[in-house]
Amino acid sequence: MNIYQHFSVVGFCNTYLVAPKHGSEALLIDPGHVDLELIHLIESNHYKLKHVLLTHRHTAHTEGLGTLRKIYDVTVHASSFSAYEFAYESLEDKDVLNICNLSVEVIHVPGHSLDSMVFKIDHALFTGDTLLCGRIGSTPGYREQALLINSISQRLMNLDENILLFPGHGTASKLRIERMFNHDLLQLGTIETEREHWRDEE
Amino acid sequence: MLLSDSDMADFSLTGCELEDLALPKKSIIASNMAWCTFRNIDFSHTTLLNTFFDFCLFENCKFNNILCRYSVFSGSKMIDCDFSGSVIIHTNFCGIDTFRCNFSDCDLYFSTFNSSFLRDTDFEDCNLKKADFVYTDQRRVSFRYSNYEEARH
Repeated sequence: MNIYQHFSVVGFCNTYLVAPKHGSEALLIDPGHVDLELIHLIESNHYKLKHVLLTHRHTAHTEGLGTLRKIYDVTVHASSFSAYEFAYESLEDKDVLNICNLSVEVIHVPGHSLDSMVFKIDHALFTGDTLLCGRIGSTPGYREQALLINSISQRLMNLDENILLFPGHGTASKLRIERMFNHDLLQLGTIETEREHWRDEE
Repeated sequence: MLLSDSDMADFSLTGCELEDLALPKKSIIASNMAWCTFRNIDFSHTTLLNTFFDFCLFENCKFNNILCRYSVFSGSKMIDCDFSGSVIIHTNFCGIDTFRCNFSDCDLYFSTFNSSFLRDTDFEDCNLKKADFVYTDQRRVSFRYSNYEEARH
């Protein structure tokens, strides 16, 4: 699987181009801003852009969609909690999409916004604004923060700790790194799954 | 492979120990070098893209004038390492432990040093816009001539 990271200074959003192999069908996650650099990335690698996944509906992650849909005939996939003025395929928690020869697992992680979705493709986790490098996503209040921490704990922290993390803003990371150094998650204490399975290999 | 002039892509070299090497001017792309030990290695003038160096030990290594983007050095221990004159953007240094390191004259735009332990380390004349120094333990760290106020801290 090939993953290309594109950063735009408009909204400081990371956009990810994901494809199973060079020159194949490809999908784009969070087109925050579509510029020549992103178009060049798609075209120079001969990818056929077919699908767009949206982690949530904030404009920093969706603003480039208008431009993108004028250039490419793409199917947009977004949370069923979102409402857009254009047609899109709605996603529910635990859905598995088989698109572009990739299996995309959908994980609902509310807190930053009600419609926040995380996409797991192979060994990569595209977290949008739920879990960033060294911190969790911003929340409007302490109740939403508690919801987000609880969602991350229950839905993400039980995944393989070597999984790669590609957030909507900032730098890439690994789940192990966030477990060890993310101050917002230290209150979770010992990771439950490790406690459950630590004797499995004996 | 490391010493050849050709670029390295999708390369995995985890847990190895390397000593006394000077890498040629090359690109290392989408590679995994986690849990390695690097002693007296010269990475100067290399390009590091989407490469993982997490939980490594770097001792007396040179990273002068490198271009580093979307890479990860988290959880690594760095002793007597010199990164001066480099462009290191969108790079993850969360939880690193530095001793006598030099990041002077670097562009550290959007790089994260969150939860790090920084000792006798210089960040002089650096671009720290959007860099992150939250929850760092800093002892004898210099930010002279850098825009530290534009970083998160």
